[in-house]
Amino acid sequence: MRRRVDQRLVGWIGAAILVAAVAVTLVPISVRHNAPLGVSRTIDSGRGIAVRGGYIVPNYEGFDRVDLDLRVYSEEPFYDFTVHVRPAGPDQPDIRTIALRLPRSDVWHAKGAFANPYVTIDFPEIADSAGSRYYVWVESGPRNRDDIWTLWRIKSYSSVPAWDVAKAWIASPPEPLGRWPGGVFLVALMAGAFAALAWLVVALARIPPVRDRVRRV
Amino acid sequence: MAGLARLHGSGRRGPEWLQAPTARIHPRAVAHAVVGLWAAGGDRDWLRPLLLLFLCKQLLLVALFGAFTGHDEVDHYWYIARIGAGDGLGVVGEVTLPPETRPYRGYVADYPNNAEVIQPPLYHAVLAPLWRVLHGGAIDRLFVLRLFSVALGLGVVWIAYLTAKMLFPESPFLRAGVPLFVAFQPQLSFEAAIVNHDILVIALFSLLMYVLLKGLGSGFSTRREIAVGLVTAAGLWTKLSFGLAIPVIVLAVVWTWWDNRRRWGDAVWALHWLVGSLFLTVAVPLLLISPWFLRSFWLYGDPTGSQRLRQIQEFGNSASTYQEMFTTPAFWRERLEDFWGNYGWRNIPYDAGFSQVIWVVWGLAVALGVFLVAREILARPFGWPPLLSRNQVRGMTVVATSVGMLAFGVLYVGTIQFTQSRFIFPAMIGVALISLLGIDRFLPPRARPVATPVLLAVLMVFNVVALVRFVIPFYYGPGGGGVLLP
Repeated sequence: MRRRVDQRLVGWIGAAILVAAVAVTLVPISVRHNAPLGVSRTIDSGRGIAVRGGYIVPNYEGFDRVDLDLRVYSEEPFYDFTVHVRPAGPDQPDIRTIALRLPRSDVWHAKGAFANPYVTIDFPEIADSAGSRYYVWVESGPRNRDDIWTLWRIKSYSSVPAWDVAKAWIASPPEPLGRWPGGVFLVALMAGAFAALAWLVVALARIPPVRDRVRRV
Repeated sequence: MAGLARLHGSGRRGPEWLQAPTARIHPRAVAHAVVGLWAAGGDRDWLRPLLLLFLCKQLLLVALFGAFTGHDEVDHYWYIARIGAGDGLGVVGEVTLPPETRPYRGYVADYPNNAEVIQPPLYHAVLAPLWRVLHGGAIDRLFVLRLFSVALGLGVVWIAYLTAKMLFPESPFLRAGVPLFVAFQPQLSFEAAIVNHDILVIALFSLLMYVLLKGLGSGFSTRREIAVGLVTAAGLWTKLSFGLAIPVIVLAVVWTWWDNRRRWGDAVWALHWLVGSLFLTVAVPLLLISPWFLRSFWLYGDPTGSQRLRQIQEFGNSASTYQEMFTTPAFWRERLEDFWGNYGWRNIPYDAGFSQVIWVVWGLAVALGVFLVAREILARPFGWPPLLSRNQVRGMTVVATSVGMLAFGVLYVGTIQFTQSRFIFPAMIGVALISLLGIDRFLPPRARPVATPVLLAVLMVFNVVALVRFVIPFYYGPGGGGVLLP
């Protein structure tokens, strides 16, 4: 009897893990592009000054989000900004232009140590973004033209299925293994990890839940 | 064979090949002893897949993290290579890194100097023979050396299980939850996938705590005291910050003496035992490390070389004071970020929202532990039944002291150079116990059957999301990846 119950439990757990794995693999997830410390700096290195824009190089297709660390120093209740995304290079037109109206509390310069300092801006995805260079810059609206504000950092993202992330990794295994053997090795390890996880879940579900009484030693 | 069967510990006769009378140790018997893990009863059923999953995960992480991008990995690798090539220990400021490290200069604290040669050489000396027999270039050898860290990580997970089982044999949730927490703590996993002496410190500290807790529970025999002394000496020869374990050793030994002194009757004999025990557990390791202290004093003017580290601009500029650190909220935010994320050089921070979820969940778990402590203190005056046995209270006090000492170490390092939460990682098993004990004691009986699977699910989701959203895209993508710092 117990064995039958266990088998049913194992079946349910196995099915749940499989469904979860498929969902995780196929559902798009927002991945952050690679950059030192996770951010692109807004500094003009040549002139050594802070500017209100920065270069980003998405390493995934489907670039569709930037997080901006905006800091304002004037006491206005709301701020109007326009975010421009354009390919890097001279005389390039905007490919995305996003207008924002933000309350002061979202962009006030003194942000709490544990607060999220970024404002998230989503826009329609840029399909062939992987490896391209873009310039993201921000201008204030006419109402805030004379206000004091700055842009500290930019983070950029793409929404891609987790499978795309895994594929990119499998395509670049460690140098010593070589491309094909290394790729096969990584896939085998992923399969092994998945099998071990399923085995572990089943084993943990079988642990008797009862805690013995505390021994007074 | 009989020994193996006994170590197996299940009380069953075991398979026939284990019983077979043979002059040599059968390879399968050894494998059985290793995989069987000396675990009693049904715990083997989940320990095997847990260790297999950890092994697969760690091998994946070894492949994932770009060559030489682990913290101080360039320095540690070339310290090993230096000893392997027979070039001696070297002096900070005189030992420079070879030209082939130039692409990784952004991952070196004091390029082109190798600042890690200021550290004691046990880890590097252990790996030097392996480095010598390996063929190929630096990257080929690096990936093989990383496997040593994987093996040590497996040992830490195993010790986590043994420690939880020793302190809380009655709790299935803690027996499974503590090794799960340790196995899936992402920064400990990072340490166990790169070339760095920190993972050996973590393994030795975990082993030391296990032996100390064993002694606290069933007494310190001379053999056990020698074991404590030797493990401590090995730890000191790996990294001098291991000295933070000494107050914990003193606490465990003195507490054992205090509890038993009347039972021994003769006060002089009891005092004699205390002095002898402290000699073996504390003085012997200090004597054994003294040549290194003398060498550092001779070369750098102080026994630890910390004054020399302070002179390195990248390090010294970030030094702070205790007051500054305590009163700066951003300092504590950074410590939390370091504890759960950042991956060494802080190149891969999590997004704030993701971090906040982790902190809230972990904070609630730790708060339950704190609440448990308050409840146990109030239990006696209010006549409530205690939720912890006396042995468990003693054990957890020593564990909490070890966590506290290493937390102090994090602050102390902050007065010399930039500090990081990883200096507390040697006490990861203690952190896991503190994090999960409150949940275990206050969990309603109806929720118990799902507690461990839920913990596993939480840790898995956390790890998978962190890897997919932040870590893998940092290193790999169709449009490139892997950032070499300017």
